[in-house]
Amino acid sequence: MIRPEIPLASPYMNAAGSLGFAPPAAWPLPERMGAFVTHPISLARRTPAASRALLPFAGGFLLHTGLPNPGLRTVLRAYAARWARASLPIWAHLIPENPSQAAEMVARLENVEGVLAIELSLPPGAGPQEGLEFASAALGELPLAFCIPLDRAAGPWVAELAGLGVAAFTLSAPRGCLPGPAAMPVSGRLYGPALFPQVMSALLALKPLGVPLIAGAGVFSRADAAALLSAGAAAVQFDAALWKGYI
Amino acid sequence: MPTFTAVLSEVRLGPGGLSGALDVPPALRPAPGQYLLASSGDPTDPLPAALFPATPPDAPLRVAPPLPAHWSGGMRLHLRGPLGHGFHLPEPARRVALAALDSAPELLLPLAHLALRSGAAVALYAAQPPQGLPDAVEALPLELLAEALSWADYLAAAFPLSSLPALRRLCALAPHQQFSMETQGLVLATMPCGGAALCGACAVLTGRGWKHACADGPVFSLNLLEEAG
Repeated sequence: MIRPEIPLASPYMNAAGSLGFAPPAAWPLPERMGAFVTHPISLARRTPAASRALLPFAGGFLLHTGLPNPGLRTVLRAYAARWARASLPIWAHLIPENPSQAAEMVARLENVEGVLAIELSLPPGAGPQEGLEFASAALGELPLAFCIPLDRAAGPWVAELAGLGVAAFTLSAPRGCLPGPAAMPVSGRLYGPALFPQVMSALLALKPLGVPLIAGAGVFSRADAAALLSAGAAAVQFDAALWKGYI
Repeated sequence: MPTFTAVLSEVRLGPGGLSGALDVPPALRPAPGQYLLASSGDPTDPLPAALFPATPPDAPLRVAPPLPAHWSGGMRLHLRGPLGHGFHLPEPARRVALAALDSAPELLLPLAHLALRSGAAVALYAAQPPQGLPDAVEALPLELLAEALSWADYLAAAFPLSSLPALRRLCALAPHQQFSMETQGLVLATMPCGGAALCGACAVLTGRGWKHACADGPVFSLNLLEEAG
């Protein structure tokens, strides 16, 4: 099995959902941006979740939005020209609902100028077997970075994924649950510097698989990034840290 | 988008929480209803906060409460902005009603000053009048807000999105009834990305589809907002 190389101009990137659909005019690090990862894109348009929530906890926050986006067709119409003009690799982040959607979306992106890689996230409830099916369906001509949420970065399915020929694993934001309004539990993605020990631990645990690892959660400072790169990460992704405008 | 730093000073604790002063260059000051996205510089503090002006554009900038409770005077803030679309006081408005529902009335002070300067009569409906309210502004309880619809020619409100139904009830509007005057609402939503990601946390349902408070607002026509959001 030949593992495709991930296209990166430097090891510093944004995480999906942190900077919209096109590369920003400004990047808060002195090092150049290695690649731009798009906002999560579904095949069909997704509206915001009815029960949107942002719930802080010590060292982080839970975000539940439903990942609204206009759908692949509209995104391509609006942003393909900017991607083609981009001076850095574009990674299209896909959130298909099933493996056949994954295959369809990847096929539509293979000839889009500027898109040099696919990053794939699983639906929240997908199990290990489904994960393998999604990954198989998304393997095409473009290198595939497969997102493994930190809360699922263990088990034999990860080794099986490695054997499929994915180009990289992105260690991404885990899901969690917090009491919301009226103490009703709210589930969502977790962000914040409190996740750093988990991403470091997952990085070290998965390193023996020999798949390039991208640390894509809990990176909130240059020191965090440096530590992860020293520990063997192929790249680091900043997420909500970018919203401050400085790192 | 410009990023810059400024020192938070003159921090005061009022009924709505902490407020403070910021020494911000004139070109970077938010207009009424616009905001700055501010971070404390503490890397363990994961989220920036939206700061809204509480003073008119030509006075030293104070930002409205509530600031994050752990912020203190002397703290250097990293700022991004000004962001969003603010209030637009209509040229012919002569009778201006302002309403702060479940929010700090200080958010409407800059607009009150602008309206007074344009020669308009101004009334502020709020649970409690804010410090620094000009004497010329009549302070009234929210329960009287429905009366404003019979005399005002412009209504501006500040409220969390969840309070839109309550605002419509206070205005004695029937379901789907539109305001008959020009209206604007500052929708207070959590805007963590400040438009950088359009992350969806501040999504607002409007008659023209889903909008982002961070980028399309946070000020919208009240007739455009829909309660299902």
